Amino acid sequence: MSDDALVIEGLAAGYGELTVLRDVSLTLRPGELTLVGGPNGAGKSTLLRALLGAIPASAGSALLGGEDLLALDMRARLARGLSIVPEGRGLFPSLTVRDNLRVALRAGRAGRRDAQERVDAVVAALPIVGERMDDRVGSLSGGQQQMVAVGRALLMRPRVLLLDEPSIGLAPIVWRHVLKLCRELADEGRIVLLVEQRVLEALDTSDRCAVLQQGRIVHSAAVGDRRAVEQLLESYFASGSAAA
Amino acid sequence: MTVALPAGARAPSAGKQAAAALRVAAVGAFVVVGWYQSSNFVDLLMLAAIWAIAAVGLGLLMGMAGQVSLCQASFMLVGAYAYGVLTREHGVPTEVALVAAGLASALLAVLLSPVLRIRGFMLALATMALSLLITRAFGTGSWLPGGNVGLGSIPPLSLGPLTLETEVQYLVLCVVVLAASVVALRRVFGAGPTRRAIQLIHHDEALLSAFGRDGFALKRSIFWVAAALAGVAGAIYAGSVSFVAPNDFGLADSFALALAVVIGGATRISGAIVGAVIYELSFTTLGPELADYRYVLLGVIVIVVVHLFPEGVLPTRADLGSLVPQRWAGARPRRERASDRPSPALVEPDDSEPLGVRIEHVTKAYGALRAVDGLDVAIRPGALVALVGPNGAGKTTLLDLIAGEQAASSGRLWLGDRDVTTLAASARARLGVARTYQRIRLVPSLSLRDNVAVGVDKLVLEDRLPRLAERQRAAHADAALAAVGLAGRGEEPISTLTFGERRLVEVARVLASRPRLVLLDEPASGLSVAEAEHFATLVRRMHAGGCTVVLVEHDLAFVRALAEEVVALDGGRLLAHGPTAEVLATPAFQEAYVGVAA
Amino acid sequence: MIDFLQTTQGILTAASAYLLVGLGWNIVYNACGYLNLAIGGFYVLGAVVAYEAQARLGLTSFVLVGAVVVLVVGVVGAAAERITLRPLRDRGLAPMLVTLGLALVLLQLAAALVPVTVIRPAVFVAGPPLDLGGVLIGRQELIVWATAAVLTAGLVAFFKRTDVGRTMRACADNEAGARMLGINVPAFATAAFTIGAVLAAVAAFVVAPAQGVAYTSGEYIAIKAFMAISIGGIGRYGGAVVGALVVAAAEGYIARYWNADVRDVVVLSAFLLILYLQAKQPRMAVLRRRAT
Repeated sequence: MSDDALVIEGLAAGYGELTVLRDVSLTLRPGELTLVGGPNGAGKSTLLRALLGAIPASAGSALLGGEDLLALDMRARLARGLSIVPEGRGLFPSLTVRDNLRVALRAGRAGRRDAQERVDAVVAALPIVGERMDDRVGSLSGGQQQMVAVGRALLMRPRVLLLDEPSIGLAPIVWRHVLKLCRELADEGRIVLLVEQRVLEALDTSDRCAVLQQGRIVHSAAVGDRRAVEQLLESYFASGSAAA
Repeated sequence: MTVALPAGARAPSAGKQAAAALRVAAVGAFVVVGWYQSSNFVDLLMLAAIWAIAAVGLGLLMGMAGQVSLCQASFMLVGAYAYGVLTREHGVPTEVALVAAGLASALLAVLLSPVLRIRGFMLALATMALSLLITRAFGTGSWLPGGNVGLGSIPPLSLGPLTLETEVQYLVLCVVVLAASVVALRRVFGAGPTRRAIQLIHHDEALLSAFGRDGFALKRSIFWVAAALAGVAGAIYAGSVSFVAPNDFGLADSFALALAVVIGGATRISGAIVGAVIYELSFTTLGPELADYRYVLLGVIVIVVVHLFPEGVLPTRADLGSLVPQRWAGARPRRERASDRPSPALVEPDDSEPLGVRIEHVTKAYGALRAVDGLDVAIRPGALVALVGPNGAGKTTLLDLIAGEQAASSGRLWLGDRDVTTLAASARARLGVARTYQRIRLVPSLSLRDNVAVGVDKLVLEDRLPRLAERQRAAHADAALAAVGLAGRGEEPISTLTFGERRLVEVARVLASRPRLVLLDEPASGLSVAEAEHFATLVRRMHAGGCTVVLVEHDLAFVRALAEEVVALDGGRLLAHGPTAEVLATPAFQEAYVGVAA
Repeated sequence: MIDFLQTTQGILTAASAYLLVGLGWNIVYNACGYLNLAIGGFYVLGAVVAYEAQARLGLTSFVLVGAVVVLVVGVVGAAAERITLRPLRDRGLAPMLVTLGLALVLLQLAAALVPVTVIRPAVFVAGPPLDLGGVLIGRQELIVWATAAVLTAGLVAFFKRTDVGRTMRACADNEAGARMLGINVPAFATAAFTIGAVLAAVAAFVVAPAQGVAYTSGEYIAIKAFMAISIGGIGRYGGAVVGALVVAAAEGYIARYWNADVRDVVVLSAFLLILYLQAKQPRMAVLRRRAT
């Protein structure tokens, strides 16, 4: 079981002079939805970027099935089954939904016959993607764009799905739909890592919750534990750090 | 923490020194080969010196101020024709004509200066079009004496009784003009607040506006000074060869001048001279058989220089380190004098009042998105207030609107009792507004002290300090550095600082301008706990010194500890405004921040 | 009337060249993020290679000479980008300064290869011009128009219908997003630079037999082509066609019915005015890159 998990230990990363993540350790298991919360600037996006390889890690390890991802370049990590729904969604607004999916398929070197099958699977999971297939992504609403971004990540049949603040710009009802989708994806046996500022809505859907603050995990617990929620709120609004 | 080192003490490695020496040797070899292959070396040097006069001006514009201009040779054409027409057609004395040629080019540059509103790549393209335009304007038909064939029998230059006839005489004249212009340019543009402003134009023109100065006027004066030099160079050329044609000094020559600046190095005014010499010697270096390929050689040199030596082909004295005798090395450690220390009046706050902010129904729309949406807020003078809210709430946009870096789509904005809705950022800055940025904005080519002195310069621009000598400005900047805990490190380059120290330099820059209103954009992000605490102390002290402080911050613990009151925003609208603890406890705010529990 | 139509014929030829070179500007700027000032050099190089293919290799067929032009300029362009430009990504104006150096190298190489002022390869289809009710249309002219039309349509299809084309658009749209999908963005930048160089070269290859290409003409063509896409709107093919026609028509009719000498002065002044207004009013700016 733990062979299939993504085990992060002592991860540090940043941008040039600036160290954002310090000594982050976290174990992500297949079938579990892990939620990482924390205020802006806490290092949530940096964590995902470092896992994906978009920025180099300066220390630590991230073992997936016993292999250290940090030793691989980004393309190799994508080939190992990592996939991201990045901050701002990372879509190509002047391309149609179909072309967004095609570009991703080609980048992922999916075979041509396989391709249609994959697209069909995504459409089955996200009907809206099928309905808007020939519209330019820029003309879609924020929620629809988020669906396309998730769909595009699913196209790669990821073992590990990383989502960077998908709630931004979503109406509450759409946000709940995205959460439900994340839950289903985890239930299919994937590792799902969701980073969010608006954690409360996502809490009940998740299996585990961790809080990042100033680049460190200040709190980590299984959800369901009432105290976990209290501690979480505490770390957001109360004192206990910085200039206190 | 890096250990503070006096600047002179940083010795380059032996390998770097050897590489630097090799570059000097390579340039030397190039000159020697050029001399060996040439039939008339003096002629070559004279032409090199003429090009160098034009290149030095361009070096200031393109190298120092970062404005790529591809029409410098056109100003040589204007100067050459002005000299030729005035002397030959109107019998004007040649000395007068020489000066008039410079003035004619300068005048044209002033007329064309709106082109400098265009920035970056587009400026290169626009000046390229200007060059083609001037060539075509001179070449169209017979409106100029000499028509399309060109103007011949231009009288040689004479200075009083002496008529310049030999190449050596022209060479001497050029060298004198060159030396005089380098000295003058160094004095006017290469020192003090003007030097700092030019570096800001190069790296971050918007930052210059935020510190009270509009870059356009300075760019324009550099542009016309550069053009005047080119005009003089063109006139000397016309006098020395006694002929000029409309298709002389075309776009290829402007390209070549630009490349000479790149080759010679952008960071030194004299760099362009080296570039001009290399450019001219490339006529002969390849020998007569391969002379056709000189532009290939130049192109290759340029590509290599851009890749390997972005600061120019010649190494700096610092790169050479101990290879240069100490007494040449310049920048001797300065001994502190009593007069260097700022008088107490300089460091202490003056009696200027803190500035309040009143925002009346302000909206900022980007297309359909309203980042700030009909907002009404008043921040009283002397407040210490935090702007909080979730991502996309409009906090940074609001800060930009107050500073004038963005214009409101509708609504009115007051600073103190003045309606500043239509006031430019630089003018608002001169009312006493100073700010820091989410992504730190310091100028890498300036030392710590110079970065902070930009704040002092702002104070002078506001007329709250008399026109200080550079030494006093430096002392004032040092005092501000000391106030944030970076005493004695003014000589260091920015690159040696840690992230936290860079934030402190931004604060020192704000402090040095003795602001009446301070805007801080996410000052705590990226800081360690200890650094954040230090930072909070500084903000409190700044506030106690008598100014309004508005800060955007995500770290609510930091906000709670620091701010007296909070303005909470969500979706560009006001959520709550009141005492910090009260607002942070309201359910509406908590919901906006972390969402509603399902 | 016949005179007007005859002038229009020349305008269509000029517009074809502006269109192709303009698309070259556009593709490189979108994908690479800098202006390729060497595009005038690639234009002249195209004429030179066509001339040499005829003179030295003895080729006469349009297709074969065209293939040589595409191949040679393609290789030169790709190598130039790969070696001299790719390492300078994200170094501000530095890549543009390198293209300035490249322009000098290309122009000089071209001049050294074919030491004449105006390069004029032989026409590909011999014969007298076609007479359409008094309006004479050169056969090479027809080739120029057809080439511009076919290449523009081909580019539209390439960017819309092929994987490589779509991916290039994706890179221009959102570079960071493309990278997170594992797309090798620099490789696509090389491809875009190469296509831009080849487009300019092909424009000269078809125009040169009809009108000749002077060494000094590369930069004029480049500026006017840029003006064409500024008017038409970057990234819009229909707009680029209209822009090319507007620029060519303006200069063609000015030259014929007013004064040939003021043609460039008027057109260049208009271009400067456009750039200035765009700088004053950023919303008018047509060169916009990357939505995010």
